[in-house]
Amino acid sequence: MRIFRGTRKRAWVALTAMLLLQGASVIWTSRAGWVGWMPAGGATLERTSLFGACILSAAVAWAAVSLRAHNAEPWARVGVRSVQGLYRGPFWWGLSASLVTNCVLATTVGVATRQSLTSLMLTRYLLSVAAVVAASACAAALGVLIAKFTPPFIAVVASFVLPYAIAIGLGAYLSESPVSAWAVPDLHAFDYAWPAIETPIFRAASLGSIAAAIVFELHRRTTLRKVALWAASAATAGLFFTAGMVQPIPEASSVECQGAVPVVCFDGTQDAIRAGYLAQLDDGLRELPRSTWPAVVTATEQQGAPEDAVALPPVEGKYRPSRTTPPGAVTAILGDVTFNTDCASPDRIQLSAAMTLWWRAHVGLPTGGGTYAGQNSFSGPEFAQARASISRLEARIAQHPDQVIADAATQLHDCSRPAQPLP
Amino acid sequence: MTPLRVAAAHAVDLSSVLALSCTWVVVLAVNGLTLPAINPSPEVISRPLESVTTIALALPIAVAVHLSSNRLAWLAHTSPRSVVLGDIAWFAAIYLVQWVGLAVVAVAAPGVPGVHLFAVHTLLLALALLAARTAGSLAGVCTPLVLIAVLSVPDLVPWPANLIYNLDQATILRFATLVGVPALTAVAVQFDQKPAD
Repeated sequence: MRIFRGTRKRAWVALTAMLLLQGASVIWTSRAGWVGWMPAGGATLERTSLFGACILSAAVAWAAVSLRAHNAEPWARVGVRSVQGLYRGPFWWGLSASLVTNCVLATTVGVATRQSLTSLMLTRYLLSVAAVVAASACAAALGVLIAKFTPPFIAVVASFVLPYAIAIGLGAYLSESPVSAWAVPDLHAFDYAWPAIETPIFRAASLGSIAAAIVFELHRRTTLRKVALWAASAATAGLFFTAGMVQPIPEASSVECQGAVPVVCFDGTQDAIRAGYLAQLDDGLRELPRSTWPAVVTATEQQGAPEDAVALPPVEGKYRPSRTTPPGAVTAILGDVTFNTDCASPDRIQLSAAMTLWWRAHVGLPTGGGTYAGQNSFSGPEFAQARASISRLEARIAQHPDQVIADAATQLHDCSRPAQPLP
Repeated sequence: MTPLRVAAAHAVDLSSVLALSCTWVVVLAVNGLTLPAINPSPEVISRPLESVTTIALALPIAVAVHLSSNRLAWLAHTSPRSVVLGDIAWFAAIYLVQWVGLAVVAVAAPGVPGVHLFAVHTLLLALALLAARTAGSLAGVCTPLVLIAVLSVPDLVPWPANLIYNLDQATILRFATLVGVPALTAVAVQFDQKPAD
């Protein structure tokens, strides 16, 4: 296509770079929800592709609308080549840019989640990648359609907003209907359960067939386009039929406990965080007398961990369950648990506040909130009083560290023992 | 030139008027579509701006960018009247028409913080008009779209710096709008129009 001859290569490079940048940024910002866990990694990749599809659609529309913006379409209509042939260029460079980007991102996510790889997971992950590529082809075709039928000055923005609104709308208004099976899956649905294997197969087949039909239409292959449309109908019927079927992920909820004192329990989704989590736990335990150590610690909320285990979730906040452990989070929660009290006595509540604050300061974490997402901000009156007396408490602990800490922990957990006033 | 002829020179025709009306209808219609949570606080229940409406604001801005171009710019340059004053008057007309659309959205959409939306939209519009004048209409269309898209990705921009969605920063945004819009417009009219993309 003569009109794109000068710009096509630069546009291809720019689009690939832009798609890579946005994909990497979305994957990076949502890493707390997927790192080390391939089912959630696949869902993250699919979520990432939503903005990518919007950018792709807008870029293809920008290139395709040039025909109309420069009043070149009437010329094209009287030319020897078909008009579809002229729209083929933007479609193919957009789709190839998206293919390169998706392959790079899929490999990155796949490598980052290799710790929990099984053949079933790999198969489903590849199906996710296939669905993403097919959805990209649909987005590129949407860009061509919008460029062809909307006013040229609005085509670029409309082709960005429309796929986004369709994807969000499918989730918002049709979440109960089978039609939503086309939409981007919810990231949190892939923690311990995922859709039945038929759903992603039909999803990839449905989107792939639609994409193939578009490609054949652009290449004027009428018979092949009809075959692709029949295949799309069958696959979509299968998708709607199997939508909503959910299976547990067997590897996810199996709880494994390791170590002696304390025994530490993880579930299958937490392979990637084990080393960092245990290192933080060791750092914290080193600062506590052995008598205050919990016997069993569980990082997971899944059933299967011993019932008397002390729950130390890897992190609280936006992603549940999270698969990253921010620096200091486990050490901080260890102090919260060790110096927590269920007793109603004001003295003990005061002691609990003082010891918790001392612990944060002692292990080098902030005492004003902000150690990790969603943490206690220590804003009650007992904390204000504890801040005032923190230096005296520090001096007392410095003289007899093990004895004072052990005494405090015992008092806080045993309400029947007489309370000892703060220094 | 009469005002109608000035409008015609700025590409005001049936298709652009229809497009402008349709874009505001779309902005209003997609208000119910909630975005993935952008405010990182899990306790927050009310998220009035976190809907596709905020992203769809780029649509009327794209029409405004189109209408800001003067197809008879060469004619204006031969006129004894001031080109800059003419541009300022036309930009003011664009702002007024956009504010009418905004007012309809603020009244009709339940729970939308009208003043904040007004500040967001006006500032983005001023940036778009400046980008269109300095770098062409494609840059004008894409600038607000890129800004909205980047700020709509959860956790990408630190929450205190997210001026669009963070209502706690409304004072800063209003101040930026109050100072920035006249300044950006004043700079924009100093530039000659770029040839069409």
